[in-house]
Amino acid sequence: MDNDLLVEIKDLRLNFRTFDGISKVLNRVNLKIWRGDILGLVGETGCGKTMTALSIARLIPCPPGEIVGGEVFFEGEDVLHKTDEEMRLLRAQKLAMIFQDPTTSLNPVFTIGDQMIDIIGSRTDTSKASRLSMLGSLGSLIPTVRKLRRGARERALEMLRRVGIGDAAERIDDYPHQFSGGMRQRVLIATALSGTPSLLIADEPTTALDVSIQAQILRLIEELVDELNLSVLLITHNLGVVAKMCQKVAVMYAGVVVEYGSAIDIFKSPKHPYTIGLMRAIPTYGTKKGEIKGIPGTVPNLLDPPRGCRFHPRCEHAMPRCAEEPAPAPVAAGPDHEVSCFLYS
Amino acid sequence: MSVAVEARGWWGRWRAENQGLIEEWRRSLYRFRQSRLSVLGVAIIIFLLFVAFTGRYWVPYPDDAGFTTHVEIRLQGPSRDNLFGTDEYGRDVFTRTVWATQTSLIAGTVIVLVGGFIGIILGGIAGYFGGRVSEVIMRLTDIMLAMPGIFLALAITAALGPSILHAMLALSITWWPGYCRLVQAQVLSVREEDYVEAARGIGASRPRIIFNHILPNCLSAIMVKASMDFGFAVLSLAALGFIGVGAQPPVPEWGAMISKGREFLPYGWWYSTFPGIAMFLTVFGFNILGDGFRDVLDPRARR
Amino acid sequence: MGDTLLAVKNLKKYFPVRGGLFRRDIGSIKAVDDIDLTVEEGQSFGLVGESGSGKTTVGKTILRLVEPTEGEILFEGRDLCKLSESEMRHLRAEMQMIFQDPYSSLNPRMTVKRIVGEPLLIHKWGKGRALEERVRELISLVGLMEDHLFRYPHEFSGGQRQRIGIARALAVEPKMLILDEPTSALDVSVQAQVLDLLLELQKRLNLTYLFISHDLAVIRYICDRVALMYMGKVLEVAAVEDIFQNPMHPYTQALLSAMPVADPEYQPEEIILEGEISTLGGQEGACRFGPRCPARDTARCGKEEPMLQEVEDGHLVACHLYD
Ligand SMILES: Nc1ncnc2c1ncn2[C@@H]1O[C@H](COP(=O)(O)OP(=O)(O)OP(=O)(O)O)[C@@H](O)[C@H]1O
Ligand SMILES: Nc1ncnc2c1ncn2[C@@H]1O[C@H](COP(=O)(O)OP(=O)(O)O)[C@@H](O)[C@H]1O
Ligand code: SF4
Ligand code: SF4
Ligand SMILES: [Mg+2]
Ligand SMILES: [Mg+2]
Repeated sequence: MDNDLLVEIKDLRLNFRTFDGISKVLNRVNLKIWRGDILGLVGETGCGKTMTALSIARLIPCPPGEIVGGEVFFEGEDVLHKTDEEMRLLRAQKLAMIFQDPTTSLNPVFTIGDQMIDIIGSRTDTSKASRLSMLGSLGSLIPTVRKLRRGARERALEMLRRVGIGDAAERIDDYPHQFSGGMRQRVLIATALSGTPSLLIADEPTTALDVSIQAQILRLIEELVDELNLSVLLITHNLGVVAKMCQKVAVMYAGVVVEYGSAIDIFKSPKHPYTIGLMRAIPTYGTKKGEIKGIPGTVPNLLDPPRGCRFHPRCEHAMPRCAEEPAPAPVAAGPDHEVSCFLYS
Repeated sequence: MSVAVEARGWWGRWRAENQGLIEEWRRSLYRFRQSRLSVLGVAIIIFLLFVAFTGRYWVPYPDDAGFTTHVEIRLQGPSRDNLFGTDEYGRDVFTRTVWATQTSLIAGTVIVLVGGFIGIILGGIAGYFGGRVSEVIMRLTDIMLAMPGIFLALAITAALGPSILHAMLALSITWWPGYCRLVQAQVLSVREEDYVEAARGIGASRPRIIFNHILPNCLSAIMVKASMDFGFAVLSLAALGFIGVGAQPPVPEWGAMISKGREFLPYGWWYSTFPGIAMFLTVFGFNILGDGFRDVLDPRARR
Repeated sequence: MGDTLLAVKNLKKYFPVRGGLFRRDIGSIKAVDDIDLTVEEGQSFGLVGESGSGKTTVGKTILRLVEPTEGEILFEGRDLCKLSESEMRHLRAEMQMIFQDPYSSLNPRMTVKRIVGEPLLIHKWGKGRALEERVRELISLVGLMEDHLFRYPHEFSGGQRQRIGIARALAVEPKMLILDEPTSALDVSVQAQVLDLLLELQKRLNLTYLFISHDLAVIRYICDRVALMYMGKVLEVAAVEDIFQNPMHPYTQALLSAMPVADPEYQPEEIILEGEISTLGGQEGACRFGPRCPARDTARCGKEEPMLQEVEDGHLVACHLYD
């Protein structure tokens, strides 16, 4: 594992304009992804996990979104100031993304093969690729495009086999609805990883799947990560999945990364009251009735987030300064372990 | 957002109890206003309504709506005295076009209301009860849909004798198949929603399920269709007028006017054009209003 | 533990599969295929399984929200399948269901007050003031506030909506709740709140739960006894600790091992099952889990469907390994 930095997000702030006013969705997010690592991003729904991930790919819908501050570096380059075309290439070549719902990420009216070929084609050559996808299968009438398509199809087959769809040659011309949830997720992974990405963004890749299928998919991701030397940003609600897969963990709450550290640190000696609360909220083996404890209250309304530490209305350690002073900055709580909480500063 | 439980009079109390509803309306209005086009639609419709219901009091030649003749100014082009020109009897086209607005809007409303009512009832029954009843209703609907309603309406008016009332009646009773289809499909999908299952789970009776749970949730689709449909109802009535089985002279009606004006077309262009523009405006206005409704009521825009 | 409150015997539910030009029945999905369950008063009975294994269908057939194909459902000794529709409507006050998806189980056009008040109206608990009092009481029972009364469901978070659903279910004081994955759409921190609420309500109101879930950790936390379903059949039934300490069926063993544990240092060796659950029913007269079973003993497993039988005291398994 070579320890250079792949992604660095610094003080990122993102607003959304809505009917009720400006929603402050990300408030100084800091995040680092090292090469070869799997970083888990956890937190309650609506706390900004997906938006953080999308900001790396600069896929946030603007408007209504608006990045109002901060920087995002990918392999040392500033993502926020690239041209659209540069970004498109970066996304096509360096980033792989898979999303929660394997049903909606595939277009029901095209075959699995066609969809994979279009995407794979768009990776290899920009100008030809656009012809490829514009013409659809009609493109095969043009010799160069036909050759390109054939190449892409070979690659698609290879990737499908790689992700465990054994009879790939027979299944590649099927439509998405003929595949089960687990298989669709495999197809998405195959498509995402068909280039030479250095970062895989997996947004709740197994939330819609059963335990036994989840185990298969997670095992697959682990293998591919080793094989292709990928870094992964794994977004999930499931702390069990994080414990199993990740070296590093970032905990988000209401648009802020409140704690960042190695998986062992986060699970064994969580520092931030929110992380501690999360750990107490999950039943594991041997938890007796009445032993788990929810975090009282709900996620704040981001239109009018609490002043100071955004967690203070739900925090059992809240002090007067938590509400009065500006939000706490991240402080070191150990080697490679950062907490944003006044208890530690 | 807390509710003041100490209500200030009945108004305060009503506001407190309907706070959710008010909030929802405000949001819908906001979303509606987001789309310029639908605001334009509303503007057009307000304009049309204004014209329809006040027109009789400010048109320059109210008598021209009836059977008068001014031979000396027949078929004059637009001028200061006759903004839209005059027809073959020398009557003011502007007056007649404005006068016809009311007829058209009222007829459109009646057609959509009656057609919608029949359609909702039939579609609701077919959707909720399914089985053989549904089969019969839906096949009937298919037959009706396969045959352009206007032919049937034509046959009915021909049988009853041409008049604007008969045309309205004929269109009203042939207008339902679209609604029936829509409501049936809506009911079928809403029926499968968890909250309907939940209502059965708490022991709700059938009427309660239909009227409290299913129909209110079909309403938005019906409203979208109705507003889009309105323009077509007006158009169909005009079509009957155009063929000559609708409004009879001297009643001013757009379709009849266009049809008549056609005879004088090469030179008397104003005669058909202005009623045509009025009709276009009506169809266009209601269509974009429907689009606006769709944006507001689209459940996907919620949450 | 008390007397038997609910007994399900030989319950079957087949859904017809229509196809072809004339939409004739061309087969059936055996969503629930001959299962027996016994739930005692005051108990939390868990029903676990992957999606499509028939858990929801069991819940709904018990309430007769779907009509069973065959079998008996005895609630307090009365067979629900023999009741007429109107008798069943009255009995619905005794047994209520909480749905999986808090977003679709509340009518978007009704305020909280109307939603929670509806069962009271239906079962004639009262009107006007009395009804409003009861609704307020229920709302505070599930931890919502009074100024939520006149709001619409889409203004609430998932956890709050699930509380509204619970309030609606508790309105007419049922004896039993059927909870269909009540927390699977919720965040962990909110899940914990809802689970706590459910435990507290059970104690306070002496409720019996049939708790459906695919999350073994949640089942372990809430339930006393568990049945594990696979393709419409029950494969293993036991007290909750027995299942976790001593899982007997190969499927149970695999599921338990594949369940992610929130502890980066303790990661047990997992048994990864091949393939996926198929809904069209396995081979006739063979073990349904056979195609995915790591312990398959081809001779018997392929020829004979194992029966559920008591292997240890109160621990039932359907697998030829234990014959
Ligand atoms: N298009 C949009 N307009 C307005 N607000 C938005 C928009 N998209 C996202 N948001 C807001 O941004 C916040 C963060 O959303 P995000 O999708 O990142 O959450 P998340 O942590 O991924 O949640 P989940 O676990 O549910 O996926 C939420 O409060 C959400 O309401
Ligand atoms: N109304 C229905 N019509 C046809 N098939 C159904 C219906 N409801 C459920 N099924 C089928 O029955 C099986 C079991 O479903 P379900 O009980 O919902 O499973 P679970 O709750 O365990 O996920 C599935 O194969 C499902 O597709
Ligand atoms: S800063 Fe204060 S309120 Fe925030 S988590 Fe720390 S102690 Fe709690
Ligand atoms: S009966 Fe055979 S195939 Fe079925 S679970 Fe037992 S060992 Fe496996
Ligand atoms: Mg997300
Ligand atoms: Mg289910």
